[in-house]
Amino acid sequence: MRLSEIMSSPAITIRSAASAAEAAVQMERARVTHLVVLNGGRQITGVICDHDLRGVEPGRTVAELMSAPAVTLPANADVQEAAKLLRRRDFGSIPVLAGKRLVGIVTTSDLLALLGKGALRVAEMTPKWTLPKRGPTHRPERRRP
Amino acid sequence: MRLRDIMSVAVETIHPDASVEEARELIRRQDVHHLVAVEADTIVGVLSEHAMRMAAGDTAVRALMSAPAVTATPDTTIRQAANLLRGNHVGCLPILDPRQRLVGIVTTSDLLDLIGKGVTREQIDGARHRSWVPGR
Repeated sequence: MRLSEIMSSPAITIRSAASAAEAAVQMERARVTHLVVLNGGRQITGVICDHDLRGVEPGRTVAELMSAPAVTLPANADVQEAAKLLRRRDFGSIPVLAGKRLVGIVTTSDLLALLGKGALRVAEMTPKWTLPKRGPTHRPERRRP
Repeated sequence: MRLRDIMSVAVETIHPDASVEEARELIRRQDVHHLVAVEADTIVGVLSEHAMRMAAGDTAVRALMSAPAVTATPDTTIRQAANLLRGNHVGCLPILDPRQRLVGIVTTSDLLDLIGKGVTREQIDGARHRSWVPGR
C-alpha cells in the first residue's frame, strides 16, 4: 500500500520562527497534532507535534522545539518503509512529497489506523495452491494417441 | 498473533510522585522508553521518554504521565491494540494478566515493527490457526 492512499492532505505548515503559542493555535485551528516546519525559503526543516509543545514556555520558537532534520518520503513509497522510519521514535510524522512539492503528511496514528482496520494488503502473500488429486486449475490438454 | 507474542516482559515502574530526573535516570539505566506509574499496587498512568523531553528535572511524573493508563491483556489481538493506542492517544499499553498483575508492555514501536515486517490480516485479527488451504 502506498503512502498516497493513507496520508493526510494537505499537510499543515508553520514557519520555524513562529512561537510555541502560535504553533498550538495553528494545531487547534486545523485540528491536527503534527505540523511541517518551513524556513524562510519555504524549505522543509523539521516536524513538530503536540507533545513537543507540552509544558514549554509559550515564547520559545518552533525551531528550538521541532524534530529536525525532517525525514521525507515520496508519495509512492510503501507503508512498510514509513513504518520502519517511524519506528526510530525520533519523530512521529513524515512529510510526503511529490517531486519537491509537499503534498501530505503521514503520522504514526495513520499507520495504527491501518492495523486497526485490518487493512494491510496481503495479496502478494497469498500462497498459490492446487487441489489434491485434481491437479492445477489450468491443466494442459492431453495429447491424443 | 496476540499481544503475548510481541510484548516486552521487562517493564519498569515508577511512583507518580517521583521527579522527572529520577524517571530519566531509570529510563537511561534500564534502556527502556516507557515507564508505568504505580501507586499502592495500582497502575495509575504511563510516562514516555518523549513526553518529558522538554520538561524541567524537578517536575513530578504525575504532571506529565498519561492517566488513567489504558491496559490490555496477553490475549488482546493486534487489531484491538492498535485501536486502543490510537483511540486513547497513548504510546504504550501495560499488559495485565487475569489476576491483574503487570506482566508486560506493548508500545507503538512494537506495532510499527509488525507493519515494517509485513504483517498479514490473519495475524492482525489474532487467528490462532492458519485458515485451511486445500493441498498444503
